[in-house]
Amino acid sequence: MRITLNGETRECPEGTTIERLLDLYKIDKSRIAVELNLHIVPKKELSARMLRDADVLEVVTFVGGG
Amino acid sequence: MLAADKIEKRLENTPLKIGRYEFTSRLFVGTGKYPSMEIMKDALEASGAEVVTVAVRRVKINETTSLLDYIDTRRYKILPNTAGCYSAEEAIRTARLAREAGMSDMIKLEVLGDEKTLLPDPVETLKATEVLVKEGFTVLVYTSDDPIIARKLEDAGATSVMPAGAPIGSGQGILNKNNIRIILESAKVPIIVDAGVGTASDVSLAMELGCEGVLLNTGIAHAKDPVCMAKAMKLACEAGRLAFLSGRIPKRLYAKASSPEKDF
Repeated sequence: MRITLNGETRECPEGTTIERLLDLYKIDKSRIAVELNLHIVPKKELSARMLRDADVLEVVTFVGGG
Repeated sequence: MLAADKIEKRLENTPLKIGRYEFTSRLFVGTGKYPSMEIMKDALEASGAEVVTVAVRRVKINETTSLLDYIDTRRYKILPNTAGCYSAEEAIRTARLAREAGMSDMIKLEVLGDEKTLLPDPVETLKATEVLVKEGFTVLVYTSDDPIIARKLEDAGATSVMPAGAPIGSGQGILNKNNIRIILESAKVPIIVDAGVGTASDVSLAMELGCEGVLLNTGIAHAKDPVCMAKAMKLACEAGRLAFLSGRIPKRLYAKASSPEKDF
C-alpha cells in the first residue's frame, strides 16, 4: 500500500503500525509529534495504530527558530 | 552582605512570572540562523537565557542530528513558536503539534500577515489566542505594538503579550517607544518586546521602559561574533532592568550643576 509521509509517497506493507514505520525510517520517537490525516496521534497510541492505504502522515520535530 | 551582592539578589528575588513558570533571566533567545550548532550552544550559554524558542517543522528522514542534541532541556525551558503560520487555523494546528511533541504547554503564538513584512495579522492572532487559551495553553503572543490589540489579547487570556519593537529580523530596535509605554501603562500581564532588536542598547531601552523581558534571535545569531553579542545582550537586559527598578531622573531641558556653587 501507499502512504504519504511528510509530503512524499512511500510504499509500506499492509499491517504496518505507525511505530513500525517510524522505526523503519530511524525516527527518534522522543521528540516528535505525529499527525495522521490531520488528527494528532498521542504517543501511547503509535504502537497500536495501523496504517491504511492513502493515509497522510506528518511527523514533526523542533528545529532552530526565533 | 556586600552592596553588589544585594543588587544581584534583587534580580534573583524578583523573577519573571509567566503563568506558573518563573525565570530569573528576562532574556529569551531564539535558536535559528546561527553559523553552527556549536556557536548556538555557546551563545545560549553566554546569554544567560532560561527560555529558548524553537520552531516546529517536518522531521527530515535520514537526518542524524537534532537541534535538541545541542540544547540541555534540563537547563533551558523550550518555547515552541508558530512561525511561518499565516492563519489562526495553521497556528492552532502547529501549537497542538508542539504540545504533543512533549516539551511544554507554552507556545509563542505568531500569526503573520504576509511574507514581505512578516508583520502580525491581528485578527487571526486574536482568534488563535482565544482557541489556545481555551485548550489550556500558556500563550505568549507576538503582536504589533498597537496598544488596543495588545489589550484585546490580554483580555482573551494571553499569559504574556509580546509586541514587536520593529519587524522580525530588521534590527531596527524599538521604533515606537511611546506605544510600548502605553501598552505597559495598562497591562496586567508581562509585556515582552519580541523582534526587531539589533543591539544591546535596544534591549536596555525595552527594559528601562519597564518591559518584563526581551525576546530576540537574529541580533545575536547574525552578529559577527554571536557569543560575544549574546553576553552583551545579557548585560544590557540586566542593566536596563536595574535602571528601571532604580527609578531614573526626569529629563530636564536645562542643566543642573552636580558640584556645589563655587564659594571662594
